[in-house]
Formats: sequence, structure tokens, C-alpha cells
Amino acid sequence: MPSLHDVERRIKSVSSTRQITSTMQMISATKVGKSNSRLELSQPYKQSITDIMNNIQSSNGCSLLEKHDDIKTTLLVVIVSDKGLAGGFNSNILHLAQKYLDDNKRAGKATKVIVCGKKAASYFNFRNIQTELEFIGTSEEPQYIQAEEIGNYCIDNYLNGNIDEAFILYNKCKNNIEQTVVDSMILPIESNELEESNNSDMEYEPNESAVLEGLIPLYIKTLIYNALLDSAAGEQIARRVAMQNATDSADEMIETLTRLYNSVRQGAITTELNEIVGGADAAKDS
Amino acid sequence: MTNKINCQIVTPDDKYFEGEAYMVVVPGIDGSLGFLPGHVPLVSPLGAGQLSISDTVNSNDGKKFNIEGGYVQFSDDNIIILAEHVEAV
Repeated sequence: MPSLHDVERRIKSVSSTRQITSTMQMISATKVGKSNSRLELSQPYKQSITDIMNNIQSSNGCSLLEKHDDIKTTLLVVIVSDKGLAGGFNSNILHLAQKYLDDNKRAGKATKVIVCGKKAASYFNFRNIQTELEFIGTSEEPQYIQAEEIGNYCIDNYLNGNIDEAFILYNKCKNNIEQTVVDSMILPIESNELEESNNSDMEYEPNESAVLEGLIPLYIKTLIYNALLDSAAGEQIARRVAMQNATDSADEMIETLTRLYNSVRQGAITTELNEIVGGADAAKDS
Repeated sequence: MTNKINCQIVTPDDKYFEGEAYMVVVPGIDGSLGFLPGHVPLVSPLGAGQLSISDTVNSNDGKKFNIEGGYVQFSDDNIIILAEHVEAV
């Protein structure tokens, strides 16, 4: 039987943890709204760019759409959060990234990594894996300029042959409870991604392929920016859910411990009473 | 046919501007491009420069924005200007 004092101390420590987790839950719940609205506001731009891309019929002659024949180097853009305490949010992505690294190593291909979020940076640094670009401290409020920098890096290195394909790994908000891990190819752009549509009366100035050539970089940056925003919203949702679960289990633990505390206390009282009664009996007998 | 253009300036972060106008002049790659209601559907890249949205044929009357490249799409009297960076003048 633990002592009364021990149980009391445990109850105190669990309640103070509970206080922290429930506060974090509330903070995340407010941030969810903000991140979600940023994600929503970014949709018209993405939609318009995708629409123009879809309308363009001829896609030949654009080097960013052409696959490299020999795939020697893969670039991974890994997007996670700066802070933990969000359940499997970061580890799901990092496991997937590790799988890519292992698979590529086995296949004799090189892998380059761009990381967004402190958790990914420390993961790769700990394993002595060199990263090309690191973005730390921006996971909650990503800026477009960050997407531009990643996009330009991808495009430049794809064009000069340093990388042969690029993937982006991030958490997409499925709804207000769950995220799904997305692993999509950003370079070369898969042409089946772009649906063919027939809006043939559109004129292009100066011509279709020039418009497409200029539009693709914007499209890639938009995809990246969207992934960053999605991940930011997902982070808050994941944290809210994780903290809710933590608060619930703390509540449960406090209940069990309080019950234990009461029974220990009652046990102590019973023992004391027994001792008094026993003592009194002994005194009477003598 | 209405003689107004429905105009939107969209940036990666939000819809920067939305409204009606009679004439929109955008900085094209090789000089300015003007749009009036009934223009043919057109997509074109934009250069850096000033964009003006006005209710009359005089582009000095209207609202002005500086942009640094982007795209313009015109169809059915709807004009969408996609710009990475916009600044109202």
C-alpha cells in the first residue's frame, strides 16, 4: 500500500500536467481557425493557376514537364512542425522520409533533402544527413517567400540536372480531426495531373507554350505554398486532438488516484481506530 | 452584354482586390495591355509595372496597383490578375 503522502503527490503532479495539456488544447483550438482561414484564402490563386494550366493544350517543349531519362538523384521536401506534442504528426512524415532514403540507398540513388520545421531538421542532423535548405520557426505561419525559395531551388536544380525528381511530403487536413500523409511528385509535373479541357477559343499572348513555360514555376510554388499552409493547419488540429486525449487520460488517472487516496486514507483511519480500541481493551483488562 | 468588367486581383495569400470596372490596363511583357468589356478571351504573362482599374476610359482616374509580374486571364468579361506581389499605389 502506498503512503497517503505519495498518492497525494501523484495527484498533484497529474493535475498540473492536466492543466498544461488542457491549456494547450484551447490554444490550438483557436489557432485552428486562423490556419484554416489562411488555407481557404489561398485557394482562389491556386484554382486560377490550375485552371489556366488545364486549359493549355500543347504541353510539348517545356523542360519542366519532361522526365529525365535516368533518375539518379531524388529531392525530398519534408514539411513538419517546429514543435512536438502533436501525436504522430511529425513521426508519420519522418518515417516516410526515412523509407525514401533507405529505398534510394538500396537502389543506388542519391537523395537530397529540404526540411521545413525544427523537428525534421533535428531528425536529419542527428542522423548526419545533410540538408540542402532548412526553414526553422516558420511552421505555424508559413510565408509565400519560403515557398518561392524552395520552388526556385527545385526548378533551378531540375533544369541543370542536379536533381531528377522531386517529392513533397506533408500532412494534409482531411477534416477537423484527421490528417492524411501526402506524398506527391512536384517535379516533373505528371501530365495526367492536369486534366485536358477544351476551352479552345482562348487566345494566348504571345503563344501557348510561352505562357505554359512561365506558368509552371508559379504552379510549383503554389503547390509548395499550399502544402505549407495545409501542414500548418494540420499541425494545430493534430495538437488539439493529442492534447484532448492527454487531458482525458489525465482526468481518468486523477479519478483512479483519488479513489486510491480515499481507500488509503480510510485504511489508515481503520487501523488507528483498531489500535485505540485494542489499546483501550488492554488497559481495561489490566 | 453588360458593359462592366468583373475584376479580381488574386495573390497567393488572398483575394487582394475584387470589384467592377470599365477599363483595366495591365503591364504586359511588351508594353501595356488594355481590356474593355467584350474583349476576346486571353491569357498573358505580365511584366513589372503599374496596373490600373478604372470606371472610365481614362486610366488616370482609377485605382492603381504596382505588380511584379504574374498572369492575366480574361474571359466573359471576367478578368483575373494573378500576381505574386501586389502593392496599392
